[in-house]
Amino acid sequence: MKQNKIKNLIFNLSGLPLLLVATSVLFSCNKNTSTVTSAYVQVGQTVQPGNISGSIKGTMQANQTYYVTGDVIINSGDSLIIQPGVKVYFKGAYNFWIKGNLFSLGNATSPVYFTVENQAKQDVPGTPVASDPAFQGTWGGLWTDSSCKNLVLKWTAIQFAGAPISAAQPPIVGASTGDSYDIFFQNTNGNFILEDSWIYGATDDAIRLKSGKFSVMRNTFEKCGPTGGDCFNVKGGGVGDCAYNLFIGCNTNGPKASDIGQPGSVQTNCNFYNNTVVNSGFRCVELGRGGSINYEQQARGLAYNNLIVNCRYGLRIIGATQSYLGNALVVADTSNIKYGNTFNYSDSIAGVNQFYPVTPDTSNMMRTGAGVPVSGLWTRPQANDIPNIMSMISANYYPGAPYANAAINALVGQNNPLFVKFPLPEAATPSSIAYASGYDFHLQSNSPAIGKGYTAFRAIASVPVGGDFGANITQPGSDIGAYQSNGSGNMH
Amino acid sequence: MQHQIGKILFFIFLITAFSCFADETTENIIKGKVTDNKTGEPLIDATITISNGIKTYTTKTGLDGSFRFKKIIPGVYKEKVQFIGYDDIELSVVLKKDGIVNNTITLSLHSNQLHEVTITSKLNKESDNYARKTERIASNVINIISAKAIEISPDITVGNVLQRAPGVSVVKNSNGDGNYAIIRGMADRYNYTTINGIKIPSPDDMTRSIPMDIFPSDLLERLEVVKSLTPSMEGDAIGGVTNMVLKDAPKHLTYTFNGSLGYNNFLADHPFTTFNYTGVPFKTPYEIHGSGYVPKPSDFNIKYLDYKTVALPVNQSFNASIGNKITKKLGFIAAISYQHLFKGSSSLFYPPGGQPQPIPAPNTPVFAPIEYRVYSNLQNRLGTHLKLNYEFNKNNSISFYTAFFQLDQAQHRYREMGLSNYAHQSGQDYINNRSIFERQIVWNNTLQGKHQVTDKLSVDWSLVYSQAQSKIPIWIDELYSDIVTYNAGKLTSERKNLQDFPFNFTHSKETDNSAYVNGHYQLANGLMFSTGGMYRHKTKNNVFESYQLYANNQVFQTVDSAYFSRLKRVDTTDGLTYQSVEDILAYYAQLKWEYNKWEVLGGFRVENTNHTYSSELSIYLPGKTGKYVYTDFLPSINIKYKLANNNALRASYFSGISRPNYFEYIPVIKPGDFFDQQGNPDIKRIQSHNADLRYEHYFGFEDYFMIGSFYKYLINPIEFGLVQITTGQFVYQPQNFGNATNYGLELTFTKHFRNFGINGNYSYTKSSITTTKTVFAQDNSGNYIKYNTMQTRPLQGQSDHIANLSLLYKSIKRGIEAELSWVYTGKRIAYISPYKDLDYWQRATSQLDFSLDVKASRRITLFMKVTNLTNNPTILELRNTAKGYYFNNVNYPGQTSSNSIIVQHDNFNQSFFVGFRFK
Repeated sequence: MKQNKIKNLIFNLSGLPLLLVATSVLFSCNKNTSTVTSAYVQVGQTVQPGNISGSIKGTMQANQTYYVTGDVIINSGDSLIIQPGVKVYFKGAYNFWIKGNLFSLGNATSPVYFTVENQAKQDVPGTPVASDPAFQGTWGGLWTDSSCKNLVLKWTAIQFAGAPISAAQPPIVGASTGDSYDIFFQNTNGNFILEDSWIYGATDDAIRLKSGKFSVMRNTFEKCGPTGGDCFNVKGGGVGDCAYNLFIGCNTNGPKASDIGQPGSVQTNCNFYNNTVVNSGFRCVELGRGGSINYEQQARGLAYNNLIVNCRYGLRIIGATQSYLGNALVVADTSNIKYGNTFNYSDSIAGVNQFYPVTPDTSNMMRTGAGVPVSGLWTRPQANDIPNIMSMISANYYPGAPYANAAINALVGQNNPLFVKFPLPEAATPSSIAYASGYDFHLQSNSPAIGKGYTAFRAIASVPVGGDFGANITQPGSDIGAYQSNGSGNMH
Repeated sequence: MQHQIGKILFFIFLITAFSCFADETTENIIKGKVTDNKTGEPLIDATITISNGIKTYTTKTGLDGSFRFKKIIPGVYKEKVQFIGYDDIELSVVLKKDGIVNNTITLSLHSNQLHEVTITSKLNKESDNYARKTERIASNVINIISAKAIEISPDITVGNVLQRAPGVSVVKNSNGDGNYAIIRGMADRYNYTTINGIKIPSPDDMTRSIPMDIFPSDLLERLEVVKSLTPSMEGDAIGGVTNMVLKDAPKHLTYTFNGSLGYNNFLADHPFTTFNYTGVPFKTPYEIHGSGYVPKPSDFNIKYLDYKTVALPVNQSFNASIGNKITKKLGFIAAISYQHLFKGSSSLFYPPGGQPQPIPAPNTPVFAPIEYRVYSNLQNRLGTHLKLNYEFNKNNSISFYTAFFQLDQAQHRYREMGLSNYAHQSGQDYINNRSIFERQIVWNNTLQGKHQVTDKLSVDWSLVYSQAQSKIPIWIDELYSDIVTYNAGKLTSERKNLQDFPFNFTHSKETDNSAYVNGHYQLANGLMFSTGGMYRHKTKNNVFESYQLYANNQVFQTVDSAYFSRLKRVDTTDGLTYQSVEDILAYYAQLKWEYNKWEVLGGFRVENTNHTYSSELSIYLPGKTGKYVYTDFLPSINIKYKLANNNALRASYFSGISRPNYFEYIPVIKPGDFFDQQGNPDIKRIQSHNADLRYEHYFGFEDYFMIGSFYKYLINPIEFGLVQITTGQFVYQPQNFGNATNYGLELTFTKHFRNFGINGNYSYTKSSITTTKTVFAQDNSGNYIKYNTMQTRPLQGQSDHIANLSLLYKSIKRGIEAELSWVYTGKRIAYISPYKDLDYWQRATSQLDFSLDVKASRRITLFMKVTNLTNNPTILELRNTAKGYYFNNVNYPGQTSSNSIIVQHDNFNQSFFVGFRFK
């Protein structure tokens, strides 16, 4: 009986491995499948004058008018070319989603317009932000996908843009619902060229260059950003030149460079030269941030010949990672940043004392071996800057230290750059003139900025140069600011 | 601090003094207690019958094993003691007039009954004895915490109880309460949770995890942590299974009640602030108005930002249960647990500044402005449970149970970013007042039947409907800039400007419909064949909407006087709006063979998974919807070899899987300043091979010693890393990173010496995984470069050392039970950074808790629980030797370590509870 039982057991147990083996065989050839929907592509239609929306390609004919009645997509591999004099009027908060190429090729006599039909500007000093159409974001923006190789805008006016991406998820990567930029570029290997163009109004950054090669030259930026945002915000892997631009009434900075985001071997490298920055930085909420031109967080580049007039802060370069009045500063690539020949003008003592941004409280700072505080604000007056602050300050000065003294305070209203038409000294500081129309920022022939530029360096010229689709690079000029007395530089 | 200890001592004194009144004497008494003959442990619920031939009296022993017959006619009595599982005993006693008979009766265990599960199940299932026995006779590796142990423990939520189990540590939430279990170094994704063996759905919006602080511990009969799977168990646990066994219907009328009041010492010097959330609609603006609606600022109720201080934040906890066998066939138990808790904590936090810097050393950490946070958390925790048993006859029974858990939490978080106010320095802070109201629900309904079809064949089945929800109708982050000037430590001027801030709405609902059937056939004596299967249809619906009010930097006084002209930003997707459907069909076959000293349980399980998702992703991008079908073949075997009657050797192997979290599939991109995050539609499930070896030795009834080791081999573990998806386009996304290993050692013991007991466990765990990490450095020519490299590290949440030690004092005579418990959790990775060497580590923590039970009468016990006696903080640090670069500003608060950067310091203080229990 007992033996029988054991036999039974053995029999039963022998069945177990058999069962296991059988099942393994059965399931070793099982099929595991996954099905993920692929991207929907609507074949691009050749664009025709009149209402446009959906996927388009081809050429917008010279001087024709196009009404945007829905989001526009330029498929990957497709191109849209815009001839001079074209008007693109947005009938709602729509966007251009650019996965292919966009070439907007206006000229001096026939610019291209991306705007809202019959929308008047309110270029009156003191227009409140809440009611100024520049800050309302009436239409969306030009958004490029990571597949966009070329976004080329020449003699093109971008006005009243900046509506946030609404309800649905955007059809591109890298941006999310709620983001609001006039222009967004992100392809590290792509080319972004903005020349002789106008950016009027923005609700955040006017241009967010998340990454990419660029040439931004001879443009006019007005009223960018209501309570935050820069005119040209360059992030990780942005390489190129930003020169001969006029920035006026910016919320924070004109151009700003940082190397955050985009892992890869490309370091942010920006040349900011011969720019004129006027009345900027005063709408910015954060202390110690924003005013004219800025380098931070591992960015490098050259900054020469910039003319900074009545801005909240002068050229700002972060030289150490620390806290400034509670705001985080992260060091720029200071060993590869060169700067000088900066022309500063201010109508207020506060402005004069921030030509070189200062840290008011050094008590908590680490010190060098010699006991000198290491400030996060690193811009040091250069001997060829105007005025030459270096010659007026004490020997104990270190970058970031307050440098005010009687002689320096007396610089208020001094060294007028002598614009052809602009009221200096201004009636009020901060000034509420945030627009360029009616003014002329060319230099009078007796301007102290003339001939004070530094020209012994070259543009990076990271983008293709020449021809209809390439950049027209203007090398550093001998006069400080965007307008050269020889007629070169900014053409507006 | 000294003051606090004084307070504790006073409480102890008070309760001890009170207990002295409990002992009174009456005449003509037969009393005594019933104990186990080997261990001397009191036997609870034993039946004592005395008879003098004329009159018969019957009673049962109490919690301490004692019994008492009062006002008995003097004479000679036959005393019969019966206790299931033990041999009956009969003796004779003589009661003299006005006398007292006091005898201790020892019973001995049926020698053959240790091997039978069916017998032990008739023991008091809430006792430690039962827990030990079940562990002992179980075919697989299992740890059990009994209701009795929970009752005496300082814990009132399951989340906290879990950390007492060997090899288990918990991830704490901002209250300091255990939230998720890490079993043998395996984080929540590797474990699942069941109620009475039935898997329950998750209220979480992104994961499959169940926040264990939802469950009040009072409803439990026992808590099981199962560490090796059998074929009949669902296969998606690599770490283990947490099984909450709820109280079962008793055989006779039983009712219990307890109530307690408590206080969190943190609130002594931090006022508790909260807001009125009554009447909040549990709907998003789009759900209220329809999706075409254009929301206005007036649709958003800023009243939830009006904070009021609670004058007397007294914690309350009530639990009650009643159960009976109404007829011979119908039994029930109903239980309710309610907790109303005020929890406070504070935290210093150095938020990672996103991207590190390349100098002076690669990946030198950078921080955003330091934050000081104060939490006021109001919790209403409700648990109810009803079970009905109906026995048609001896062979057929059905039961229905429903368990409903609801946790409401209203949190006010004050957050100061910049620390100007904290340190009384001039500067700019950003101040964020956050109001969150969240309701989490877990609801499980199970209809179960058991049928003994023939002598050899039995069948059981379950039909399950369960649901889990999380609703966050209030999530507001008021934000203002605060520019302050301090002069010699005194605030001399202040300017506040209101910033744009969001109202967020999240709904998450998971529904499970499942059916299980199991059949068991006795092939021969000691040989049982089982087979069965299950089918589950699970749906997950998640909705996220965010609306930002445009504040235009207006001068800020109060939020009530603020003006909002429009919305700044509307985000109704964010990738968190999605639907997932998962169908699982599983079946198994297993054999259980008991022969001589051997016990083998083995077989296989097959799980077919069919998972689909649909997201809000643009149709112009790949991956809007996805469908995954896969099959897993999961063999397992558990072997037990009894070396002797009181010791055994176990070995087991099982194959387990872990399915990706729903959210991880969905390729919606969440752009960030430093990197974009994206789901990964190509993600594969994790597979694993797991082996266990354990030696166990029992001494008597309650004392035991176990030592075991485990080894796990993970295939395709899912971890996050920065990866390049197209040229120049990098995203931070879940990836399958090759293979990983995890092994360790566990040791558990219990020893009793008369009135004292000591029990403890220790586990050592070592895991290793290699993933991509990004390095930001300087190349030879001085250019800054970012590149990816591989780094090996432990699994997230795995502590090398985990230990528990409890000292127990139990005096049946005095009716006192006291427990001092110590939990040690070794260092572990709290957050994984995408950058090399920048993971946030949680420092080793140890916490000391104390509890005391004093029997005031036969049915009433007074108790006290004190948690976190030594006010132990939770500290996170960066174990990065490039320390100091950020610390150009000296005197940063909280930096007490010379070889690490302390990035988070949470402070919870002590919590007290004092109450009574009626049984």
